[in-house]
Amino acid sequence: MPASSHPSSQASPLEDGNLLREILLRLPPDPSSLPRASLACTRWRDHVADPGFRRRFRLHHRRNPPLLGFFDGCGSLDFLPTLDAPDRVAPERFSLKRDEGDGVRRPLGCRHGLMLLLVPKPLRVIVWDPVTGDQHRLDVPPGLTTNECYESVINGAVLRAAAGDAEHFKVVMVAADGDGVENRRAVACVYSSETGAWGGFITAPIPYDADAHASGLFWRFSTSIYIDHAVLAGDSLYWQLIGNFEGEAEPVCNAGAGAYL
Amino acid sequence: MATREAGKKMIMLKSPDGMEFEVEEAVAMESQTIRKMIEDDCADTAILIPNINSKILSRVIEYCNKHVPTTGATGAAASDTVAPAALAEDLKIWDAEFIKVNRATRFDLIQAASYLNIKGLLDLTSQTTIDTISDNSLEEIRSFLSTKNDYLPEEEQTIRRENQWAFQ
Repeated sequence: MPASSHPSSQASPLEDGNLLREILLRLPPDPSSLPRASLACTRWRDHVADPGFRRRFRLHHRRNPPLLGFFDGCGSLDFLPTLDAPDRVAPERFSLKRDEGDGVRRPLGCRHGLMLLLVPKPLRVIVWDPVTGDQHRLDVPPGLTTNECYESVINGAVLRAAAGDAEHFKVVMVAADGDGVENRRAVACVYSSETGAWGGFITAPIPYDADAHASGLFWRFSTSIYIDHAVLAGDSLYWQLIGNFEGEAEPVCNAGAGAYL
Repeated sequence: MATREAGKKMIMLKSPDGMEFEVEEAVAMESQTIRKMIEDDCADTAILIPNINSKILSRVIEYCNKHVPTTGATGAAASDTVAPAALAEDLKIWDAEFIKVNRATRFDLIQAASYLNIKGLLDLTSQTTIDTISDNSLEEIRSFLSTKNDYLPEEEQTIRRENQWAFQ
């Protein structure tokens, strides 16, 4: 049944809680929108403060969220806001507290409101939600780093498990290993915050290209996953390969099912 | 149920002020509320739409007529020759004209769209309402709401202080 089952031409929809919420949902998704609206009157404040409303608001605007700014990926991780006042988010609002033991933190990318960082000792990833400040630290499964596969050639991506699911996330870690230059394979594993565990390793061979090996710039190197951030297209994550390989440049990991194609 | 033209099922909608509107079933089913009545076989020869007067109901039908997907014998020609993007653009222009109504009518349309559960119309009417007020100052919004500022001065100050950045 729709929100209001007894419409009346007399009362304004702004008086009807259900209709008012429908209208307030369409406020622009700018950071200042809800705080400003909540000052109109206490009824509006109560509506926009409701967690259920907030969830619907996020869902309603999920296809056109504002670009709040960037994180400086070259070391400092400082937040660089892009919007003007009153929607400018102060850099200190999104600052990741530094843990002395972390060493150099390498950002592996941002997606769905989360940032994924790799820290070397011990080899871990940090899933950071800048808005809530929540941090989850996960040990990278040791199997991913065997066979000369070291920290700098590991890549990964974070994503929300489903649209509008602000609670759960998945982390996909990927690396290439193998026996010498010719016999390479891609290895991936998926962590689900819902189960709190890493799934099994998923592997796929990387075809070797002898011609590229003979003439290419990378003839010395074994094919590996490039450091560029992953691209999510539909349900699949793509990383770029670098080295002597044959065929398409990207290994594909299906993020939904966790299958490696 | 009456039928008009080849294969087109017609349905009668009645407003509480006694007006009757004969519309194609596909058009009426743009309303999820009516769709459910039809699918559950609750719809007899005519469906009474409570509390939506004939003036508003005719506007709602006008909206549904325009937005019903153009499929079948008559729609095929249109979608063959007009690109989807052009159709969407045409609908946007049409919507912008459609919603040029006074505030009371727009509010009635919001209520009708909500009751009849017509998502596109609820989007259009609610978005237009919020667009007309979101650029205004707080005082203008309050006057639009015909509501008094019911905050205690210290409450208002607290909110302003806690969200200082949003009021710069």
